[in-house]
Amino acid sequence: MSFHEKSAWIMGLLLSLTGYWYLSRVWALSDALGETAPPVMGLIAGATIMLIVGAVISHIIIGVINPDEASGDEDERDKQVLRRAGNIAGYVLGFGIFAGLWSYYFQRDGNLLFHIAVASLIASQVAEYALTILFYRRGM
Amino acid sequence: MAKRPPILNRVKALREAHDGMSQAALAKEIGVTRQTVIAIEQGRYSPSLESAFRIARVFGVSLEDVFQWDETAEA
Repeated sequence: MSFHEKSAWIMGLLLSLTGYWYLSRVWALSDALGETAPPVMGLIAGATIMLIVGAVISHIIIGVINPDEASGDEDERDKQVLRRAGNIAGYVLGFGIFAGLWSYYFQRDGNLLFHIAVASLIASQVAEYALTILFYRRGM
Repeated sequence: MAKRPPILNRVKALREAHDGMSQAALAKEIGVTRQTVIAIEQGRYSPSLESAFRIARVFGVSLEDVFQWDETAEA
């Protein structure tokens, strides 16, 4: 398994967990308030710190286990896989933002627009990691 | 399921005939990762024209001695 594939597995898992944690808290807060909760900086900061700390620790571990691969550049296949996964993930982000804009147009709920944008960012990034793994495993 | 490229190759056979050259050694010679050599050998990845030429040059053979169009895949 290449360094980029290992990295995609780790980041996909980490982002899924932190994304679920963040969005479930927003959902619970909105339930308690009886309306869409406003963005809470503490939650965003918490999720970001969890993600960064988890990413740094896990990448240090996989780098120590296989230092040659971790220090190597991307080769032609890596670039092709990462570019294609990124392109498709861009559509996921675009679709989410488009849905958020239409939601705002009809409901005039800025808080909901914010949460849809965050959820779209998370979904597109998770999709990018999942597609990276798929393209490495199945070929393109 | 991703569509396999309609290209067959003899990279593994040539590598083994070349004093049992390792995948890592071939990867280093052509400037890719070992995983990419594995993917090429398994037919999961078609290398760029430049890498294909580099592989042929490592083994001292022509491009078509390494890579062949899979006629059966066209049907």
